[in-house]
Amino acid sequence: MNVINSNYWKKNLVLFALLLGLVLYDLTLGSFLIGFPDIFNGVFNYDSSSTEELTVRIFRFPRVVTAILSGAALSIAGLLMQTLFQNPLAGPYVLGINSGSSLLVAISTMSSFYIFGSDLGIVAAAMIGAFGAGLFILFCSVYVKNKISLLLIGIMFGSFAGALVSVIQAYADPNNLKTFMLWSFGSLQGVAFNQLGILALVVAIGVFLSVVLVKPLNLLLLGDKSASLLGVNVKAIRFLIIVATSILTGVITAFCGPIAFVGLVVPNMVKVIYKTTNHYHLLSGSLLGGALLIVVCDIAMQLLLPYFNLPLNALTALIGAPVVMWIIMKKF
Amino acid sequence: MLTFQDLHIGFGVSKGAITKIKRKELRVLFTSENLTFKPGEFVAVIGPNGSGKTTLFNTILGHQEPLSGAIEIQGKIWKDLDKMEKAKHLSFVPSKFNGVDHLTVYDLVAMGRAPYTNMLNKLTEEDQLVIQKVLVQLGLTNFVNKNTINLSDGERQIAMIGKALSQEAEIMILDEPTAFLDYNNRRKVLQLLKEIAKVNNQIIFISSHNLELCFEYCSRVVAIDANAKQLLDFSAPFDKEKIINKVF
Repeated sequence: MNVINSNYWKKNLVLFALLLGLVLYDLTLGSFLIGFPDIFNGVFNYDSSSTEELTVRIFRFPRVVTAILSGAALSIAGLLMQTLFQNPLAGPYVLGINSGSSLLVAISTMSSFYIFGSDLGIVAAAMIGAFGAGLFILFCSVYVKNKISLLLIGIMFGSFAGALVSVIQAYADPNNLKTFMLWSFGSLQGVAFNQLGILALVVAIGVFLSVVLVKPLNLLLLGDKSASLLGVNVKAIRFLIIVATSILTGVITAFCGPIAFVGLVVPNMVKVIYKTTNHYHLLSGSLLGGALLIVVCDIAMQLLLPYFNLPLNALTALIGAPVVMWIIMKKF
Repeated sequence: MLTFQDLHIGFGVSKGAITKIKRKELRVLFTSENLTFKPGEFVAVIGPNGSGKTTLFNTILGHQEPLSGAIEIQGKIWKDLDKMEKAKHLSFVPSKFNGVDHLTVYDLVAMGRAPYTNMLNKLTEEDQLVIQKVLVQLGLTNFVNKNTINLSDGERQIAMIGKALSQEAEIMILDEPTAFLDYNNRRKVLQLLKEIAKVNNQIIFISSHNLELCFEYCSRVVAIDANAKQLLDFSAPFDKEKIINKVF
């Protein structure tokens, strides 16, 4: 079978067209509607005297781009975890990868250890936290063969990290505490225009690493032993998968807060739509599908804004939790 | 050509795991004299449970090292080869493969080309020809687009053999290939393997508890004598009673 299969590219194209349309629609939404000419000018040719263009520049464009990047990154991270652990319920949130990030972000924003004070410092802290949690789960997976047990360990690890965060919160300065609480609700507004470059670059590195891993990922589906006998260096690949996952999860967690369930839901949906095990297609599908899901969530939040303020994390959990139950009923 | 040179097969047993000092004690399961296997041979490894069939396979597959002695393939010391090199010399079929959702038979067979493809796993024309040949040889041409999860146990076993065949390795190892199959499929798979060994000039190893079928289809039987801790070598025609009395 060829790498380029027109059937899958058609599906990609449909998703991409859908995404593009929704992104344009999402850019018009907010506290007031903005027309397309102002959006165009705001992004490419902005003039600070126009309120519309300024709003696009400062709020909307960063918000929508962050939605795209966070959805894509978290979904790909989820896909990598699902293949690594051979478990459809694996994902950065369920396995405690996000919690690891949260813990280190909490330490660096609220405690007196100001090692990671700056913006980039928080990104680094979140990645290190994600990486630590990833290594921990990887280590556990060697001893715990049962898939559900591994998820329970991930959830327990999440609770443990959450408890440590509570302890830090109890002693935190009220201002820092408020910042942290708002961060933990999950938000797409936390990224400024000039930070988008960093976010995009880091996500691109994570995506590139995942694309490089496509061949071993495909072979890992047969199990570690069979993959190893087809020439895959399983230990190194596992390590690289954890690195890619922590880059993708860490950077998004740092900027947007711990966003739940996206990494779990999207790859499962993509597998149903694409009906393939080839990670080229699953990766491109997760990238587009993840971006699509968060953009849709953002549109919902913007439309509901006049009535009530729905935190992103609540919305993704509202979608995600039923999907998890559905998968458990179907596959276990 | 595969050679066993004064092979001692076994594993290290951790003693005193509770105390802080772990002492590794070596337990030898069996030893083998110098044995040579030539292309075209269909070899059955038999022996009682726990005698070391799996350990022998694991040693050949490189999951563990022999206690002493060496395995040579084409005159090269086996454990010195790197993973990629090994994958071109040796293919393996586990006793049970449950299928992966959405993985088609074609994709499964194509996975066998992994040691030859580039990093993007692009199948060249040559790769596609090999896969096509394998599909025809195994009679899988009508199954190419079938989901591996929806196949019968027999079909799935043959698809896995297809994956191993497309690896184009001169040695194929099958761990109890007939354990989960019914009577007809057992015969079908063994007949297929016998033909493959001859036609493709490959060395095929199987382990099995089904002695009658081994004696019927295989050209050589290697038996593990658990009492004498020795590997015994028999060639067709087999003196069944003698072998069974000695080994079991």
